[in-house]
Amino acid sequence: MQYKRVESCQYCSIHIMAKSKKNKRNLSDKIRRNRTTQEVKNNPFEIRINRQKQHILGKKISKHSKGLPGVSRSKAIKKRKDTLLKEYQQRHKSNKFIDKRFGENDPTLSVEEKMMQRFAFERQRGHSKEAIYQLNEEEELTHYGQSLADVEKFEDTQLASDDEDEDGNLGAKYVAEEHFGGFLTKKKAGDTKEEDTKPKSRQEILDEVIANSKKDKYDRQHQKEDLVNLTEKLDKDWSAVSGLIFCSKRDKSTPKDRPKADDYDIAVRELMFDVKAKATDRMKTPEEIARDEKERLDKLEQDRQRRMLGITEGEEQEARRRAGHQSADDLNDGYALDAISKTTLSYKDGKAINMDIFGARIKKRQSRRSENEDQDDDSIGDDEEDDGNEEDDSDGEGDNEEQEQDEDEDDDDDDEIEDNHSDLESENAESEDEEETSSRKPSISKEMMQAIQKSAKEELPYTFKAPENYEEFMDVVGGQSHINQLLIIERIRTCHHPSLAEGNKDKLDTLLAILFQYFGEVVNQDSVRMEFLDGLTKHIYELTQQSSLHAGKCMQTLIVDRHQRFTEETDRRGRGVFPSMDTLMYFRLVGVLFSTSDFRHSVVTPTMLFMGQILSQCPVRTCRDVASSLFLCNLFLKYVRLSKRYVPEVISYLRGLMFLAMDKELGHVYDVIPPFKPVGRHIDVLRLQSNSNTVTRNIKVKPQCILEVLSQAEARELETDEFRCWALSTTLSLLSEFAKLYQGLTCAKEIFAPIRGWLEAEGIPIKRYPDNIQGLHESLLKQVTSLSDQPKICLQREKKRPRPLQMFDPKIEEDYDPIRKKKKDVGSAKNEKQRLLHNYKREMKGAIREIRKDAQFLAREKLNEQIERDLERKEKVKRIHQLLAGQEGDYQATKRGRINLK
Amino acid sequence: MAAPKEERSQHVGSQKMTKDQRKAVINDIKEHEKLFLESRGHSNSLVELLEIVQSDDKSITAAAVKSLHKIFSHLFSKDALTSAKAKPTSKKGDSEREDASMKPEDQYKAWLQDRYHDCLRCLARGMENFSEAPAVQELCLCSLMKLLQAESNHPLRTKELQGYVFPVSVLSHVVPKLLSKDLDMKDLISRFQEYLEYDDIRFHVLIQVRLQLAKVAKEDAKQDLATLCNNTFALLEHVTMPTAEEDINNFMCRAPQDDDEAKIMSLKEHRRHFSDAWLIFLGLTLPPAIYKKTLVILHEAVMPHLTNPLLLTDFLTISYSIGGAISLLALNGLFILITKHNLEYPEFYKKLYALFEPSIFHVKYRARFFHLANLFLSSTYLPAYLVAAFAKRLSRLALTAPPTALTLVIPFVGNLLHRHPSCQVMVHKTNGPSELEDDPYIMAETDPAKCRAMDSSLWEMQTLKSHYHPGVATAAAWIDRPLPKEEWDVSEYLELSTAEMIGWVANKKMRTAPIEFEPPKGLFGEKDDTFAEFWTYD
Repeated sequence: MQYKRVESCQYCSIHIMAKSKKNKRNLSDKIRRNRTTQEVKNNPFEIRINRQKQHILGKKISKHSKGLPGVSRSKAIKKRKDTLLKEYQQRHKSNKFIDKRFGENDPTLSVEEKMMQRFAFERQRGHSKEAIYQLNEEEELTHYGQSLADVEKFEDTQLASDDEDEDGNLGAKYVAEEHFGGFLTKKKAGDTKEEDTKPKSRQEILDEVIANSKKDKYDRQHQKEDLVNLTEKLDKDWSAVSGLIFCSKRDKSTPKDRPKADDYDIAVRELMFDVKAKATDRMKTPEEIARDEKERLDKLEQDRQRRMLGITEGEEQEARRRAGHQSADDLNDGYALDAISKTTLSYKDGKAINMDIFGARIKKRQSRRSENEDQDDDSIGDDEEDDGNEEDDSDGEGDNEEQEQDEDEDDDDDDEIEDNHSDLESENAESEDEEETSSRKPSISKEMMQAIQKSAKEELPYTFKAPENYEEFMDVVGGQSHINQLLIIERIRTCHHPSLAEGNKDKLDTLLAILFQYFGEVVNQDSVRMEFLDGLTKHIYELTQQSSLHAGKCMQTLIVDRHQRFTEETDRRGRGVFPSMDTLMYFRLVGVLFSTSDFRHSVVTPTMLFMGQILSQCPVRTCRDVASSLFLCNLFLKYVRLSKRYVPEVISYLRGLMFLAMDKELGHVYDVIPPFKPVGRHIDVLRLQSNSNTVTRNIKVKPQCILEVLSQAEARELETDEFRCWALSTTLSLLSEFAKLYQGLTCAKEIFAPIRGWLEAEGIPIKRYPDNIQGLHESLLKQVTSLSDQPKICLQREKKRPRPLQMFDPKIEEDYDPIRKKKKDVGSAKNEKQRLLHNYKREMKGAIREIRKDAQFLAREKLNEQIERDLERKEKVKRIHQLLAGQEGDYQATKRGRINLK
Repeated sequence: MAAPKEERSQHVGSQKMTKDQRKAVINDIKEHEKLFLESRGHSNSLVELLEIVQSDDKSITAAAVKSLHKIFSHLFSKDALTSAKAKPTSKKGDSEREDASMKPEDQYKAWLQDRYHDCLRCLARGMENFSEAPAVQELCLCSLMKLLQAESNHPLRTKELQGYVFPVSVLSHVVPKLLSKDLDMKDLISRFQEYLEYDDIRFHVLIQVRLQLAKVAKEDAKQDLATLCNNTFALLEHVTMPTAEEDINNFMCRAPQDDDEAKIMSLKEHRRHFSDAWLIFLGLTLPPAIYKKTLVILHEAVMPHLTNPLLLTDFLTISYSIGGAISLLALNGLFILITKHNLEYPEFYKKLYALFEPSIFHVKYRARFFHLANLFLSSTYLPAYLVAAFAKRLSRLALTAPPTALTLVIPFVGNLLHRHPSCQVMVHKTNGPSELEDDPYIMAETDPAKCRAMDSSLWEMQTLKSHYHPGVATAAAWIDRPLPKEEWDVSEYLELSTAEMIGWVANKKMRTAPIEFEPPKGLFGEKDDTFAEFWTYD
């Protein structure tokens, strides 16, 4: 009986149930957990089957294909009865009784089992968690009398105590005495006697406590300081003493009289620490070097060919990719692709002939290259000799006498100039050599050497600041002779070689821009010599090699600027005027610096357009115009020599120049192309003026000096028959060159037809000209006539090959498993979101359905309740009626009885 | 009262005057003006002023013009010039006799009217004389126009007060001076242009122009009419015609009343005079520059306002057969006549074919020509041989064309073939011999029907595929491919300039600038260079 009481105390507790969510869940969870998994007997009449309309092989049969509606409904109702109904019934109750006695709610347990479990549970509770590890409860391990548990804390008790007490904890003694009225320690009778009999007030006690704790604190600090002082003193003493202890040993080890290392030792050490020579690449034989060089040039040439056809690298790859179906077996190593790319080329040009031409051209180039190689080799040999000479020179300079001689020479101007010329030549040779070497391995040291050797002769400073703008450059260069200017430029370049410092490349870029500008300025000067321009060109070329893009931009800006000026001038005058010398020379520079054979080039294309415009808009007025136009035609020849591109303006212009030299018949309208006009003041500019045939026939045609002929300054009278002869011979030669160039064009005959007509008709009084011009005339006629021999192939578009179907290789999936469904990409945010959304929808639907069913259930319950109450009331009323009827009956009966009795 | 003397008075002689003298004369002018305005007794001051105004000195003339203007404005405002009778136009002797028979008031008025006409004459002469002082010219012109305005409000005759009458006298002085045969009056005409905004002024100026030109044409044909043509063109060029009758409401002078039924209110009349003026102008032998300018504006500014544009047919056909740029320009007018006015033009296309010459790519009017050629050849009803001839001729000419023209011509030819698929044999020949000895096309043949273009192929395009400009080369590659579904739009290339073409390249961001890998020996010293043959370097 007693046991039972205890039990109820432990396991039955009255819980005040505030109706919280948590508890609800607890309740329903519990019930779910306790759900009996009774096998529902499958009654075939209770099974409802959802018929599947199509049977799909391998499709997983949905679990909803059949169900037990009756069973699940009753299950749901039962569940609601257990949860919802209970809550409903307790809706107005704030308290609730929960029986938490162990096993009380479990109907499966018998009373005995319940009791047994309860006992076991109680025993278990007696063991705390730590108790598991206590093997022997009473035993405690010690070491030197101290508990091992304490020792193992590794606490420095002394230090620890300091900190603890500073926190303001009160002493144990005080606590024992004062807390809880001091009932923990029974005061001895003696104490009270010793102390004042009068009990202390609370204030006094507190003051005392504070004073005590302060005193304690002070004492502790004092102690600590003492300890520190003592330790320091000890340390000091120790250092004094320790010297005495170890001094003898120290003395021995001092390197007082170490034996001085002699040369041998040093040599040995050096050898020891010397870096071991590493295995290097074998020195290349001259053949190998030549081959490498050839390979490099071949590669460059191939590049150039590609650009000439207007195919960018990307396009080429694209074309390769598109060219055919790439098989799964393709290793993408480009092995099989060469053939394909060739076919696309021929397809693009529409002619197989092209291929032949290309092939031939490549061969030609290559053969020419090899010739060049030979020449280069020779020149290298020469250069070496030059170097040797130079070394001699520099040796000689060591002698004072020599120097004096040099000074003497300085006085003599003529000598100086000659000297300089020779210097320049050797310098040119050197710089070529330099290029050869620097292209292989950029070495500054040699350049430096050369710079030093030169500077010994000159009195120029060795280093120059890189100029930041044109004015600065002019400050440095202005007033110097041309040779010195080149030297200065070279030194600036040497001092600011890109490998020497970080920002040097930008500085050289600026220098390049300045040089471009300077080039234009210098060209316009009358005094300029071609050697200087050559030197300048070389510098510009080398700088361009270093940063081609920058050079391209500078040049493009220059050309566009010049073109703008030209257009303005043309608009102003109503006709084109040949631009000045500098513009012409810029055109030439473009040809030197950039690859003119490119199909599309950001510098060359605008330049050619500009040149073409000049030729189509500038009429000839003077002989200088003739010279300029011939120069431009010649430049065009150089530009298109490799690419063989057609320039209509040049042919038209040369034709016009021929017209200028012709004897015109009156009344005949010559078809010339603007800017030439069939009539006008200037149509006889190139006609021979001299009447005597013998004079004109004996004129010697000499090349004209480019700088004189083109310069604006009328330094030389050009209106001579000699010049006219030269102009005609140049015109004819250029025409012949172009005829050679264009003989492959389908319309070559038509292009040269008017010229042929004139040649045949001998519009030019050719008999009056010197023999060589007559020869030119004849050969040109022959050449032009031969152009018409080619038959014309009618144009026909390439047959459109049927486009092959796009084939796909099978997409092979590694570790393919036909049974397991392919795992969707779980990690991806999109999938995850979709999944969550799906879940949410499903849950939402379920929740709504559940709530609706709950509501129905509750309504049903409420109705039941109502019915029940009504029934009860009816019953009650009925009973009362019965009672009353009985009573009334009784009363009537008694009344009647009484009457009857009466 | 005396008439003004024709010879100039002493103190305004041709010799240079000093500053003081000039000042004195100007003071004189002011004095005369003041006296005249004060009382009728000083009427002779007007005569003095009329003498002074013929001075050579511009400041004196200016001052005199101003005071004359003031005087006559004053007179007009007081209706002092309005007389009931018509002004006698008979000889001097008669007028004197008539003068005697008139009342003094009327006599005075008649005298004043005479002076008024003198004044107009003087001012008009001033317009002519001071070609080096445009300010004085302008002053004269403006004064004349102001007087015109005043006169229209206060007509010289009372009966003119009722109906609508425009005082023609002023314009009959002004227009002949503007259309001077010797002097370039462009500046003055541009000043005069603002008066041409007024419908009445324009109307009467056109009449005057016609009269003047007719007079000049009648005089003799051999004289040099270049300046006259220049001036006339400058004047007519600025005439902007109204397009609807309602627009005629801008009058400088008195506007006609609604019940007047004046001719000036009818657009048809305006147009009639406009046409007459232009036709008589076009009948003159025009200098080439004016000829071209006329043709340029003809179709836009003139033809819509003519009563019958077909009257221009003669002019245009003659122009068309002249050749060169003038033919090109005449095309535009002809086009309007053909399309809008049903002009039947025989062998039009043959002539158009003849216009295709090498120079068309170089002339200023290239854009206009190709625009029109595109229109003419846009009809799909043209025979194939004709289109083929044009295509072939254009491509042949393209062999000498600059890149700016080529960018236009190549798609142009492509479009021709696009419109006429039967011409595509020229780029894709499937039957017949595949190889020909020579190009069967005959360039010299002027008849497109006989030039055998259909037998030929467009080898020129193939050649242009290797043109030096990448844009041209790629454009010419259309012959290798089937034509696109849509025609190329050539309109944007009509006025292409080299600067724009350079801009295409220059405005793009430069990615690479491939460089020549062969190191140069110098500016000219390359091994395979032809330069060395023709040039030396020192």
